[in-house]
Amino acid sequence: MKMNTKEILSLDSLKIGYVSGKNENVLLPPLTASANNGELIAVIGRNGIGKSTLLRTLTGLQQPLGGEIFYNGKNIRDYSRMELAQRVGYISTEIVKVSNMRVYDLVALGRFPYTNWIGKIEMNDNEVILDALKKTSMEPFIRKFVSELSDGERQKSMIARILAQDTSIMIMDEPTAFLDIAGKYEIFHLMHMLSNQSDKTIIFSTHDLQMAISQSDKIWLILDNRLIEGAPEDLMIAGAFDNLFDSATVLFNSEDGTFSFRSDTKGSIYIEGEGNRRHWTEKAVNRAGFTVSKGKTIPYVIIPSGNNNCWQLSCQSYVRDCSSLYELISCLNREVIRPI
Amino acid sequence: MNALKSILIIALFTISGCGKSTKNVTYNPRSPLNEIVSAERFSIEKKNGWTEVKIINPWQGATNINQIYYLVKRGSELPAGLDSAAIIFVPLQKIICMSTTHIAMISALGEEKSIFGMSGTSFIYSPDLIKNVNKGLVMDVGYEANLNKELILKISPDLIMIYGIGSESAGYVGKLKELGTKVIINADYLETDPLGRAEWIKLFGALYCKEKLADSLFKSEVIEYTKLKLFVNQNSRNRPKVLLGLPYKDTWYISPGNSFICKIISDAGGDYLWKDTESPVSMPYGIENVYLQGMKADFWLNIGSINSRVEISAVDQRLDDLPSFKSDNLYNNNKRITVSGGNDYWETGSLYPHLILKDIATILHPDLFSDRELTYYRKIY
Amino acid sequence: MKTDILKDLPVDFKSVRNTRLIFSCLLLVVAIFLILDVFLGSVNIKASEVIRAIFNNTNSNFETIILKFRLPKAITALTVGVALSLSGLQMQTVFRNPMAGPYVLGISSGASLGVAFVILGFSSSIAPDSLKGLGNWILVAASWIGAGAVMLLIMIISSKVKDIMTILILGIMLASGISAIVTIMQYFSNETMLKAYVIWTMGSLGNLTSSQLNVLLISVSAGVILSLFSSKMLNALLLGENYASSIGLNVRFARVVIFICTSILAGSVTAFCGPIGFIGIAVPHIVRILFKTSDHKVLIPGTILMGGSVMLISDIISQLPGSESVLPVNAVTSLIGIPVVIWVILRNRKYSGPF
Repeated sequence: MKMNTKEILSLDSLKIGYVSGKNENVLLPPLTASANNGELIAVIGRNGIGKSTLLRTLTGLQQPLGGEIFYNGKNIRDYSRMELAQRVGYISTEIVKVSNMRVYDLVALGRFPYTNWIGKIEMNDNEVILDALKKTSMEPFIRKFVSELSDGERQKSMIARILAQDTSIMIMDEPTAFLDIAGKYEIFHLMHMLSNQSDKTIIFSTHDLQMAISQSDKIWLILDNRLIEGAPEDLMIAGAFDNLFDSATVLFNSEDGTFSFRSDTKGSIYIEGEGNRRHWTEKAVNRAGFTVSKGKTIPYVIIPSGNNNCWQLSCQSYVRDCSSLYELISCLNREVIRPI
Repeated sequence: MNALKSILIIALFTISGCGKSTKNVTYNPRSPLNEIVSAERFSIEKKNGWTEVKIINPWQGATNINQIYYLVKRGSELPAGLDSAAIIFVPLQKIICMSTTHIAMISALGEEKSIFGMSGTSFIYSPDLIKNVNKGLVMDVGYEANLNKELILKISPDLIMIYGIGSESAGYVGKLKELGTKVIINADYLETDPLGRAEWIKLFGALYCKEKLADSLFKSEVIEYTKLKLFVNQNSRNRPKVLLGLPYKDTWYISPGNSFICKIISDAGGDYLWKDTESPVSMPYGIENVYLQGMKADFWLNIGSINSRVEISAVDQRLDDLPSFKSDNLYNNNKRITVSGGNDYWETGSLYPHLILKDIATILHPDLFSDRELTYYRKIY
Repeated sequence: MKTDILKDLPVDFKSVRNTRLIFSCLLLVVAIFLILDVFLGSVNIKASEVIRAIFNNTNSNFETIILKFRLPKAITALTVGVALSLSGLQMQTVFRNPMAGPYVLGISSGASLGVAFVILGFSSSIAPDSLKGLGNWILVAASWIGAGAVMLLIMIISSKVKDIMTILILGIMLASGISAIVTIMQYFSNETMLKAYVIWTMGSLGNLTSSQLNVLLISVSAGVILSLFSSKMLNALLLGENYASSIGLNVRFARVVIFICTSILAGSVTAFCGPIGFIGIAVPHIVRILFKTSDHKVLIPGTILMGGSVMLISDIISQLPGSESVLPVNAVTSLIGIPVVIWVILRNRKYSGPF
């Protein structure tokens, strides 16, 4: 349940980059953006553009080269390290490799900003840790060694750690990078739930465009010369994503956020039939490089229906039954090569 | 009188001893030159036209190694059939030595002007030689493997006399020989018998064609030594116990019973605490052990390079408990030293062991001597 | 309700029990070896005599040996073991490198340079008498100054360089460079000086006067207390400096504290006893495998106890009880330690170091 929305983070003409020796290497023109509480924000941009640098600067690990960052209206410079750690949690792309560390110990590290000089875990710290483990469904793994976890489980433990850190903002650098499909979904679901139900602001970078567009509340799209922020759909309407890709070879479908590769059309095909199968037949045909024609042409395809399980392909010279789309496409391709 | 002396000497050689090594030899004062009586590591034999010198087991741990050299008089006919690499022309006109004992013996024969190079000139004691060093007549040729071979070539000596620490000396020796210089490994420091060590003057006698002088020097040394030994033997009423050396941190390197210094102590009427041990090298004992034994010592000699009691305490405070420390019986062999590190004990001491014997006997049995002047030793306060 | 809380406790009782059991065992082991080290030595003294020497005042020779030689040596051994192992643990965590040890910052090289100046540098010229009267303290001072100089250099580098790996490499290079200088000095020395220097490098535990032992105890205690404070920082550093910073650790400050702590611990030991190797690297591994944890709240006291035990054992062995000769303690720590570590690692094949 979303609380009153308030601005929790804002960037003002922020210049990020590196200092090497006497030279300042500014990666991007000044960025301006903002985030509210409980928002799930995806940072999108091509590789090397500076997403990681931005996230590290926001966490306070790197100094900005110019501009300001405000957390809850207070300049990041005015926070002590501990105070900042109580507000912002961070997961990087580094894979944590420590032997003899149990999941509980890893999550307990999140309590660092709150424990005493020896780091003793008190009762209330323990409760927070267990709660974090529950939320990430890592409770069964509590005593397992981190080195024995799968990638997904390890990533969830890291998220549990930030949860235990009890920050209002969580910054994650490519949290789903090494995960399989199921893992990716799990993490995204977790992030969605945390931002929705626990009112956490989650800022994460990803290359998974589909996920980002379908799940995030907001997108920070980083292009070479500016940052565009807005709801994913806003950006779609504005055609902002087109600039991400080399439009010579890739076609981005604004309607559903999918890609296809441009290629010379091999021809057009008429498809007869409706339903789910039609949708996927169209997709396969498009993929093979054909367009779908509106009126009946030759060749044409009849989609299976009822008891019939075969696609019927009618070409100029023959009619053929194909038991799968794979077979259908192969035939089509062969047909094209044949001189008409 | 001479005959009586000889009989006494012979008798002494048969009675005395400190362990196994004093030999029973018949020694006739009229024995021929070049007969080697005490030394074990070299021999001299006069042949027709040359003198054959044999160095036996020239380094620590060597067995069955004999190095033979042929000493040929300059200008005389070169005998046939001799390995030319082993021929040395005598008398030597230019020599480079590695040890101060060599220098002492050469100087005793009056041939110090033949010394053109030395390894570690800062360790020389002899004032005359130091003058020569300062004048640039004697050059420092460096140590062991860092020998300044170019300098040696420039000097181009008739002989380089080295002493071998181990068979690895053979390494740089080979290089020197390659350069055409003649090398003799002098093993005098390995002699455990004090007179055996002194006898090496005969080698130098042969090298400088002054055999008669060398022989008489040695003979008088033998006489002095045995006279003293007999005197102490007959007149001393006790045998005080003696401690030697100084610990390095936790470890005390103990000279074994078959060492040079142990012999002299025994001849001087004392008992070295470890006189019953035998070892080719000094033994690393734990400080606990030495401390316990050291409590029995009446005298403490050869205390490293210590100059005062304060320094001993500074090395290890627990040494203050030793009776020899408490009763002030501390003597060190650094009376005749130079600022740069030269010590005459190691220089002329090898040649005149009777002086060392006299020193130690005076220390152990002061009542026996009216003249209590010490040569190499001094009392430590 | 109460039972629920028990179920939710961070560690189950078995693990707590295990840890406590191991600690008690280690404590017992340290005590036993401490006692053994006093009873056994170069000189054969019967156990009854030892007891008599400690409790009665007979003023016998044996009593002097026990009280003036063995007891201080045993305490030194314990202290040295604690100091080196602890600094080794810290270095391994800070640098995230299982091969790191107390000397990885070049401390022992700095110390050896100072000592080399004193032993080898004054060459054949006899040092002024006043200097000689100070004896051992000169070596201690020279060693400390050398170690301190290196430490200062490392601190300066550490404040300028961000990446901890760079500091590690620079530290190792510094150590090599200094060793090279010392080698040159050795090259130009004569046998006596060389021997004295080489013997220093072999390490010795039995040469401390009571005042020196007091100073050693004070500095090592300071180091141990400092390390207890650094326990939380070390835990944070387990994940690397970036994560440590993100959970609120001031990484620069942590580095300074830990480097100072290591320098005090390793520097004092080297100053008084020479460079004693291997213990600092091996003991933390043994402790990690024994306790199966990465939590420094457990590892630090564990290392203290284990380090003390190992050093005491090494000292007992180096005395070669029953024979009059002794072995240099440095050789013993390596000879004993290496097979032990290999055995421990082979029995725990899954162990691949702390990281």
